[in-house]
Amino acid sequence: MVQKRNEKNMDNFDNNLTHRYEEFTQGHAQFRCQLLESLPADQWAVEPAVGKWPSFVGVKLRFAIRAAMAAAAVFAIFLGATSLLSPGTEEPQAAWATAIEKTTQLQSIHFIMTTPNGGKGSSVEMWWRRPGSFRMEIGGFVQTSNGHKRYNYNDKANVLVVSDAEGPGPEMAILSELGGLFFSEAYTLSGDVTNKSEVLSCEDVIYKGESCLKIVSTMNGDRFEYILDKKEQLIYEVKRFSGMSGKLMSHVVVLEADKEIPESMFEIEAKGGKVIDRRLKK
Amino acid sequence: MSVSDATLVLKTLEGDKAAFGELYDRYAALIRAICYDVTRNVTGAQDLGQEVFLRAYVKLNKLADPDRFGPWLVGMARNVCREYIRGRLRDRHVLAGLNPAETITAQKSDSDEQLLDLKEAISKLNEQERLALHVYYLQEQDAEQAQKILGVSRSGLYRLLAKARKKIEKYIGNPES
Repeated sequence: MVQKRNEKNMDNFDNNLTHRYEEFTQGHAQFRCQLLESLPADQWAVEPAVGKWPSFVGVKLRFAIRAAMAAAAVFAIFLGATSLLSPGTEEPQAAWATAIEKTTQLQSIHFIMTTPNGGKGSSVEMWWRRPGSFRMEIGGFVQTSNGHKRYNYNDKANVLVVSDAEGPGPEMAILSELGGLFFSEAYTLSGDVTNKSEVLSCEDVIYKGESCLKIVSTMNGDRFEYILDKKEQLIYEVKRFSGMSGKLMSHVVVLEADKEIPESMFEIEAKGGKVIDRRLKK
Repeated sequence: MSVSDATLVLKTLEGDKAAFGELYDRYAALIRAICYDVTRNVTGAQDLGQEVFLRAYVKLNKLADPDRFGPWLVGMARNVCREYIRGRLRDRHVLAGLNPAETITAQKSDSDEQLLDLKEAISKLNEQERLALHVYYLQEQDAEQAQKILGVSRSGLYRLLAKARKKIEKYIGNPES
């Protein structure tokens, strides 16, 4: 029965897709009128007032999310650089492209990102594992997903909200700039990172007694500095500096890459009126 | 022969709102589809879509290459969607604080099973694959236009579409996978 239904679905694949997309054309004329009527008269002198944080949003969370967004671009590059070849064997830009391709092989990563933000900064610790599992700890707020369910846990209030993991989730607040990286699609990464980043310099440095590489690049106007272990080709840290002010915007320290992360990190249970987060040992 | 996006952009910048209306006709459905990927409801997608076009209109004079209006608009839609995601995250946080319920499970509202299967399957695709489907099916299956918006080669586009189709078929064949 189910099989028959599925075969029928496949036979009508294109028709179904066309039908599905018709939904987005409904009411078009009405929306068009509304839009044209609402266009500002002095159009290019007006800036839209959208995307502001309402006052009731927690300050810490605001900083954390902003920091997370800022880190997204950083990670696009540092992940690419995890397998950057030693300079001299290739031109930096070519090595960069190679690294981008190799990035798609990364299966998991654990890192801490901090933002100075004039002394008011915060930190986000994140674990991520292909294809869609993650855990973010932002102050007393924990978000996880095992790919099927998404868990939002307020540690202080001891409240757990569980929902289906459908489409882009809150992790995209951090990862959105990475395009398809965390969905193992190399071309998406190439589009978002390869075409926008440029390696400015690559030099040998001693970092904490180790022989390392310091790579400087730009992307979207910002400057990035990476410290890579030459032998292990591991990232020690990444810094992003604002292209406008030159100030340090974020500082990423990678703790682990391609290490096994237990499933319990991505799930939070609720039993007998208590929330059980194994990571937090509750 | 239709007027190019670049011409319509320039006309808009000269004060011709009807030209912007034409750009709206070309891209509104696509933008709503992109917004739907995060709102998961049509009404929300329509609202976000309007927001995208309003923002695009206000910032149109900052578009460096008028011929790239499509990709620029899609990029703007993705930014608006990111803001929506942040807002959704915030709302959930507030909800958690107000509601002492231990666990709240999200509800689905769609009733059309076949369409629901397809929607679910599309939602399982990665962002680039979804975008490829949206562009292809909402831009009258114009491969050249789709390539331009996605920033991929023709073979890249067809690879994306083939992958998307394969994943959808697999999902519909076995929704539990």
